[in-house]
Amino acid sequence: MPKKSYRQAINEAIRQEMRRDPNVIVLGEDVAGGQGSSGGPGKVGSVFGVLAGLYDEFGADRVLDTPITESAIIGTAGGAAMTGLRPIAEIMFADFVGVCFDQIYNQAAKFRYMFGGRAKTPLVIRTTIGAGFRAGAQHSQTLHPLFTMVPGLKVVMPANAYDAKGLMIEAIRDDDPVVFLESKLLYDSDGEVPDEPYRVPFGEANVLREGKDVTVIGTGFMVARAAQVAAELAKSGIQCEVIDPRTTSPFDEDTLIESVQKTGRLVVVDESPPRCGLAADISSIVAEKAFKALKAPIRKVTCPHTPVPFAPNLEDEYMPNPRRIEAAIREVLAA
Amino acid sequence: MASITPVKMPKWGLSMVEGKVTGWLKQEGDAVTAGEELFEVETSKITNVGEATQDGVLRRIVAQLDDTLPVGALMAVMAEDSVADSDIDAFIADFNANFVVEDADGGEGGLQTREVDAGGVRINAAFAGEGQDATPIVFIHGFGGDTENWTLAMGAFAGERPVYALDLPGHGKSEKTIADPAPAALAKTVLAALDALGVSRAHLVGHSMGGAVALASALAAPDRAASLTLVCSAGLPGSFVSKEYVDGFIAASRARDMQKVAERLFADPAFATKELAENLARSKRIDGVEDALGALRRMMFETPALAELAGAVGGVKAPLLAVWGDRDQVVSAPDKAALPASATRVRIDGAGHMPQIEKADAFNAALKAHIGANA
Repeated sequence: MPKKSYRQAINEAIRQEMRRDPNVIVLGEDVAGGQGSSGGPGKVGSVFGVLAGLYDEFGADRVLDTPITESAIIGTAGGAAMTGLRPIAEIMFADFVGVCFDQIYNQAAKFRYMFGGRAKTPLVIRTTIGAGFRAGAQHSQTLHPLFTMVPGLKVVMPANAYDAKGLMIEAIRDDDPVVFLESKLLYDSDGEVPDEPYRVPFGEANVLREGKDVTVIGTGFMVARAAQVAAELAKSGIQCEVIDPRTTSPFDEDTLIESVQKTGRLVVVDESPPRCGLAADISSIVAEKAFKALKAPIRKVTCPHTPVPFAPNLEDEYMPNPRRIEAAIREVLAA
Repeated sequence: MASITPVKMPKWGLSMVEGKVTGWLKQEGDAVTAGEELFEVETSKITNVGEATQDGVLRRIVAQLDDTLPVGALMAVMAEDSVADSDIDAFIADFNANFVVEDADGGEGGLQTREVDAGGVRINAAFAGEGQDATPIVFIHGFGGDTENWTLAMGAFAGERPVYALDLPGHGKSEKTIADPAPAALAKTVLAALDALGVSRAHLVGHSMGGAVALASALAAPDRAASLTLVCSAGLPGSFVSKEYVDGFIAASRARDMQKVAERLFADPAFATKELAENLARSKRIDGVEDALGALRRMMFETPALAELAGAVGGVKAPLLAVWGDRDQVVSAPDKAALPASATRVRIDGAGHMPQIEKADAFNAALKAHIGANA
């Protein structure tokens, strides 16, 4: 099977859906790009190059460069979705959603509910998340808990190239607003990706590795880190079961609970601050539904309650790293 | 040395050709009981734990951490404490001297694929052993299957003749649209694919619903079938397809549901690995597959196509071999009395619906005998 990068997989998903359905459009800052440059329009394809080539194939009517105003991007896209288009709006960095958050949580997320099901909002909001990119406190956050807590939004965090393509196709065909969170550090990672269009359903976790000693769950870039630690620990006979929920809303509780029933131990790895975050949410689900199975207290491995530091050594320590993940696993095993 | 047993690299899933040892969960000298976890192996798809298949002492670890070994290779040796070290050394030397990798062409590298235009339908073919003079074998998978169903059989024959496996429309890497799901129409596509592959005459081997397609091909083009082998086949007198299985296969969207469905394919449910289930679930998520499977389901249960084929089996000119597993839960065994008197019948004991995987050696031997008798 052909190997493709996470970036290529997302590009291919959008391209194939744009060919299949003329209602699919793309809009955002520099999604065509290159205006006024010597290369001319279409030469950028968004800040990380995910949309490269789409302007050349689909033209300015379907690949729309917008002014630098996130509220207009999401407002336009939400309205267009209600009229029957299937817009894919890009916010360069998730850190910027503050200025358009009304359009997301108070408008797009509520249309179907408030119009009694008579309005659909088939909108995809693509944005990038994650530290480790040396981009400072305002371009490095991982804000999935912010979206996950809003009823009416679906929240997708692809952790590999195969999932990225299938989840993007599922997101585009979904009739509700979907926030699609791309991990910056995964763009160059590659994997086997079928050429044909395919869907990966929302709310179905991926069990990367089966094991009986401890359940380790993480999302996005943290999945690779958890798997890396699990592979190391396997050499000394510690069997971790590694779970990637793929989507934080809907969330596959069944797979997680079944796993904890088997292992009796849980480590939640999450790249976001600890308070009111996904790790706390997952811990509460397990505490409520599988408390009796637990042989040790749940351990969370998260970022500290601080902005993302710019100093590289501090940034590396800020993110959940293999050393901290391993320590947490050993701690729950010792309890 | 009867009390010395090898621990071999397992085969998890249809496409596994090698595995990397990522952990030993027992040390040399440990007493082990059957079912205890022994080692951890990583494949291209997943890491899993291998269990001891019998009681004994883990006397020698042959495969070290991070070693990558082909399926079937020696990982360790189990024996009682009373067995001398020198006997174990001799056992290891003997095993390794006689060990051959299952795929005759040396793993996945030996299998190639090609896409052909079969009368306007894009068909994917896996093949090996091209260029040899002997009459080729063409394998046709069943409902929901693909070329990988034949990996073990292809490996067994590629050293003596060309072998081809086709992905039927709606399956594997072939085109997903099925214009007409009737066996006769699918046979037309198969024959066109053979034209494109340059195969004028072949031993046709069909499994399950693919058996009906192979049978229809042999009826449509008698000169092109050197022999016909129908494995757990639909379209034979008395062979009825389980609607419950087909509906379950269509309904299962999650890998965990698919694993339960896949367990029905085998006498030993352990063959229905998580990896197999994941691959089946992935194949079903590709655009067009759902519609294709639905069309085939209607053909099987809402048209007389299979019954008509069963009625026509007497017209087959090619020597016919019917193979079935005694524990098949998907297609019932053919009615012996209604098969042509000249047909060879082989029941494979301990096999479910996939004898070519579950009892590969017995299946390959039956096929070899049939082809050898009709070369």
